Amino acid sequence: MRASARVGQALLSLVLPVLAGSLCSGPAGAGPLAFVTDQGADALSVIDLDKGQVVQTVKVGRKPAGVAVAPGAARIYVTNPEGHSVSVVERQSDGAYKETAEIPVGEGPLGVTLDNAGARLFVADWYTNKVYVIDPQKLAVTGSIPVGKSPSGMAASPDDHWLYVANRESDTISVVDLANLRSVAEIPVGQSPFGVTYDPNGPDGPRLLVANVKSFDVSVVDPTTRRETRRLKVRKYPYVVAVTRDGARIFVTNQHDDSISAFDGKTYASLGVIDACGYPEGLLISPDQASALAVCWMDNNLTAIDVKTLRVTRQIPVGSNPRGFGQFIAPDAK
Amino acid sequence: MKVFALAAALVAFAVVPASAHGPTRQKIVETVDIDKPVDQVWPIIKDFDSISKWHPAIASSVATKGNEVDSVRHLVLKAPGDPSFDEVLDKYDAAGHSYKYEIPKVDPKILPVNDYTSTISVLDNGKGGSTVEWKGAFYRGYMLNDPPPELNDENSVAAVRKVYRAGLDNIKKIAESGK
Repeated sequence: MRASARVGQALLSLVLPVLAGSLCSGPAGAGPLAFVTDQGADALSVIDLDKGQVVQTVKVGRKPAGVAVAPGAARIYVTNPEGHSVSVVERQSDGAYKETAEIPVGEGPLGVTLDNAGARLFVADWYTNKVYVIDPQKLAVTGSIPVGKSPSGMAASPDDHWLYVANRESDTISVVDLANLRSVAEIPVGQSPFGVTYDPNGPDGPRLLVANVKSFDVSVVDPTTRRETRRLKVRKYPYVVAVTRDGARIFVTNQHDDSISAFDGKTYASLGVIDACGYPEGLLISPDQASALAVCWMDNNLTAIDVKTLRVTRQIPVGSNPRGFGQFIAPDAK
Repeated sequence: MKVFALAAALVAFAVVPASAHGPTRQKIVETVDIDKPVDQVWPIIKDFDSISKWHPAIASSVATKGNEVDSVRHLVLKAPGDPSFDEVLDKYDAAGHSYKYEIPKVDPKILPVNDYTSTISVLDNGKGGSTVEWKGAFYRGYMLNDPPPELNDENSVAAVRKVYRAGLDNIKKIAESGK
């Protein structure tokens, strides 16, 4: 009796720290995680950015493209344009990720973003020209907002008052009032706007940075006056814009040019074009602000570019035909 | 069957938006191994306007500005009615033995693709020979949901794959025959 109790205690002391460790730190507990949609593999690659490798591959929906990561990375939302749904992927108690729900939505859901409070999920539908509103608690569509044609990228203002939606076939940005879920204005930009990024730290105040796929440039828009203030020339088929937290560096993925354009975020001077990888698409600045991370569709990797030297520093293999369109790293990741 | 296919293609053409993105982008990578070094294979394909000399389906390929970026080559196919379309040179890397080009617009009855880009490269295979790699990225011929069969993902991919295979196999034949 005594002996078995002692064995039990010994076992417990062995098991508990392991459990506690996995509960706190996620998969094999290391660095910040990136979540890249592998459209060709019907999967989501979970990448440990410190280790520089995929630590888990999660099966999701069908032909996943868009992605949004909730604060804390406990939940990830993925759009399935061909499955006409949003997959909900959740961190389990052992730290592994798993698809736990699939919410039917629209006819071609592509862009997806959470508001900053994490209270509402917005899904842009390519074919129905609407942004659907999903309640992350109920996991159900609670409303829809008519916008321009073929809405794609979206960004919410930090106070969650406004949602900016790129309308690729209308050449405009819709301004949605999130208090009443109505589009109140359309801002003309370049041709075929796709990715839209909100930057609170522009030289003249907040700015929107919009990648115009078919005019090969980036529109800088003042969200206060709702006017385009500047155009930055980039290469063929720009897709998404990323900006460092301090607003000092701007990066743009050029899909058809296999390159990334870099700009001084304060003066808008061109810093050059980096031959990065084949068909770069999704793009974010790493949580430590040291690298621009591009999802490379043709080469099946995540390519890191040093924001200062503008050199490729690392290429992490991921799954087939990765897109990573959206906020593929938790906004509060460190 | 042929009449149906043609009718469907015409309907598709009428409703496709001017520029489009909707469905899933397709990727093709086809290669051929050739028992000749890069410096003997690259000359066969290095000129943007040379494709009519090495691709069996192409009758002529006149380019506006040779191997300069933005050069436009006009392809006329060996087919009834002389179907044709243009390709634009996006990147040219002589040192890397590679170039990239795109199709701004093509009738899906000729080639069922949208937003098509392609890269062709000659690589050292490490065994004294070379590998010619031909990569393509494009959307299917029909950009809305529920495509007619001949313009769906599967058949659009099959059509491009056939073009690449015919070209690559002929490059090998030319290179290894030494002509």
